[in-house]
Amino acid sequence: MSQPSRRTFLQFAVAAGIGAGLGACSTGSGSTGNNGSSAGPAPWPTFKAAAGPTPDLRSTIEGGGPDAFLRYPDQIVATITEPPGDGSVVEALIPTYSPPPTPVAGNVLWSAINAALDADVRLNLVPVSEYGDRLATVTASNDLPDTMLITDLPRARQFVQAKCADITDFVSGDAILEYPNLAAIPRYAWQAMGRVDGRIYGVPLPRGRQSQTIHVNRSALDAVGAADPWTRDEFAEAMHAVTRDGRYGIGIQSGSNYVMDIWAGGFGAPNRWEIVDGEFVQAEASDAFYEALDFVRGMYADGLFHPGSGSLSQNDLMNEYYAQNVVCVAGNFTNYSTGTYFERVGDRFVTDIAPIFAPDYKNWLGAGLFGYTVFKQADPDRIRMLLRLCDYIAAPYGSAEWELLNHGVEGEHFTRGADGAIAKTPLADTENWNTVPFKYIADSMDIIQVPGNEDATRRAFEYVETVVPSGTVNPAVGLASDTLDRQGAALEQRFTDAVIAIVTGREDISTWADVAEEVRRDGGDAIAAELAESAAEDSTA
Amino acid sequence: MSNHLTRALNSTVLKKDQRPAWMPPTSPLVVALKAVSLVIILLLVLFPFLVVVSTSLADKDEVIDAGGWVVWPGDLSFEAYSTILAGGVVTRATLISIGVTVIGTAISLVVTIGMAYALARPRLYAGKPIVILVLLTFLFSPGMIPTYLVVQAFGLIDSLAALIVPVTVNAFNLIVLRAFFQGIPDELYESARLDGAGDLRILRQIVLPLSKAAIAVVGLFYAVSYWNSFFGAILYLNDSSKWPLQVVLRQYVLEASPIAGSISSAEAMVSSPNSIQMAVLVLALIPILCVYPFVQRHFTKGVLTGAVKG
Repeated sequence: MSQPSRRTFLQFAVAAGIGAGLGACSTGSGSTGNNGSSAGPAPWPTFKAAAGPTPDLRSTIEGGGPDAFLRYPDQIVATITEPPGDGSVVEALIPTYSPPPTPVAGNVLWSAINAALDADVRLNLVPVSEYGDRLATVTASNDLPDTMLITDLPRARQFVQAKCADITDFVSGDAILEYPNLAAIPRYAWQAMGRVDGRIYGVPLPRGRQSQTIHVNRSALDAVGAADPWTRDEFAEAMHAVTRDGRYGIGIQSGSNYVMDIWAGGFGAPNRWEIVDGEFVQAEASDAFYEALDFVRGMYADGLFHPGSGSLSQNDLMNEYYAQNVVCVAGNFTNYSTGTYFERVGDRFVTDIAPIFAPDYKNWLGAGLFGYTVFKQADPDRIRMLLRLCDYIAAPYGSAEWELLNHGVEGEHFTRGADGAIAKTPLADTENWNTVPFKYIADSMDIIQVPGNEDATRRAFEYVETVVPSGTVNPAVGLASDTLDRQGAALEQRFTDAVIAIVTGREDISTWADVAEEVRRDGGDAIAAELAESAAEDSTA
Repeated sequence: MSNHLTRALNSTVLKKDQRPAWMPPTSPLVVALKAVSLVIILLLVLFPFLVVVSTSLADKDEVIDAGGWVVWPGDLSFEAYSTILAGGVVTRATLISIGVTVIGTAISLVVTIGMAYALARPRLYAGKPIVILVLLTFLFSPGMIPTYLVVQAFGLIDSLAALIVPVTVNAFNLIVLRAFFQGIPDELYESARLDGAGDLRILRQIVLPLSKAAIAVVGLFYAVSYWNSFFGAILYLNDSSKWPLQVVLRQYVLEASPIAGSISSAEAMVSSPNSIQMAVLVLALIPILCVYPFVQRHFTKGVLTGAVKG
């Protein structure tokens, strides 16, 4: 093996120094980490609903919500007339939750998508749990792929400003209308992504704003006469009633803070932060959060939680749910709205979702954003081409483009029944939207459709229509704080540790105020000040 | 008590003339208790293996009905294995892992043996500073990003060589082999020199034949390390078709599982059924279980001999 030359060593030193340089940018005035510029922030992209099939249930949520389709559309329409690519190679760095796909040469789905795009898209897949590490290494190098999905990257703003393409001129205001499917991304997703120094650097991957959901065994709850919907007291009564004979009311997976997000939201605590007289105040310091914590502590003391709560993996916890040893579990709404849990549960019992709590359904809303795609700096024509690719991939449900990306090629990956319903072929087990996840380059707005179950589709739609309008937003979403980037995870962990200690009885609940005070002193105040500064600069938009 | 157990106890209880003078007499009751204890320990060890294999061979509905774990499957089902092996992804990853393991272990052994031999010889120029440099790697890890930049500078990104080159020499293995070589009597080296042998011949015809045990152990260490290589593949390989087996299998086990503190918790769907996860474990275990018994006998001698020399 040859030894690295002095030039190589110098290249290495310079590259390593970039990280320090980016860090230095943020330790000064902090201006590069904040929104706003002297010219004022660029306007957000104009919203225009995408052309697609008419939903059976159209969302009435202000700002955008998922529509529902009771069945797969009969008529599939194309939203893109010309292939968006130019035949060139496009490297895309994205996470994956799945085993790897077969190589593109032998992969019918991947090849078909590339042909439709007229581009040689090379998916640089990274297991999702290591995506942050991989992203950190790639951003430290000068060898960036054409597109990268940014999620939870420390100092992401400094990175995108230093090394990624400024796409403001291509997407800001009415310019986005050149890419009609990207124009259908809800405004809240762009805002959650945020601007950097008033400029736009990415294309957001939108999600519904409903946060974690309580999935329930409706059969077990009906057997004890549980109310639906339930108030806080009715919920507690139901949990006491179902907890018996080796069955428990609630199960919590490991690594969770006993889903305090759900309980605190239900008790009306501010969503992470609250703006009081122009100042940001942490939710954990609120009385409502304290009451929620006391409520959970009481349920734990009464033995309503499964004994494995806090230590069971998600998989083991769901096995307990399927086996009816746990009646309620917290999970992703899409597990219900796409029919995943129905498939697993089968006819063992009726799986359902239950909002927390009637009559006002207070809850914390999510950011409505999975991440955002940024682009390597390139000439304007290439940026336009990459945006056209994203536009194709973000085609709405019911379009020919969406069908190709999500169901594959008709005859190869699925067949269409007489009623238009999709039936998967065996090839779809290995070639599907999960193993060939173009959806992490760009994506359209979620829709609701529980396959073959119209009642569940309506139920899911009504759930979202109920909880999102009554939910509270996190005022810090889309704002910048260097301290939050640096210390946010550590401070959050201190809250999590304290919640677990109090709920499980290792610490008295009276210690909570001390924890909140310590966190405020050790970084919370600095974060609050930076968020307030960022909000002030962004308010000129 | 069965005849087998009676015979086992009889053969275990040492007769007076077979017992060393320092060993006190052992009552049959004590021996029986020891036997029972060992059987219990053995069952505790084997039971998880039984559950893993049984769950992997159970129907997915049976697994769900049983709460996720099956001790003895009602009907044998190979669906989990066929799911994993469908599409050739696991097969390809297995071949890649075998290739990386075989080639990597061979290269590592050649380089480590050569370096250990050189450092074991007295009067090597700058021998001690080199040993100190090697030992420093125990204390100071280069870190993920600097290592990535070095690999990139060598042009190894998206190359399977990136799984081998950065970890070719393991400092621990080098020190173990060096200490072992130092334990070989100097007279052997001197007599070989008098007969006109050079270093290469001494290494090949004297040192290596005397070091089979140590080399076997170090080779196993390297092989296990390459077989389990995982993080390097994620960092350095862009093309997922080059992923080694461990990365692929891990995806099956952790598919859609939320990882605390990661982005996945927001996107998580549901994990693979337990039957698939257990089938993955079985597939990952088989190669090591096949190889380990043949190398195990070298372990004690090989490691301990090298460990007592400085």
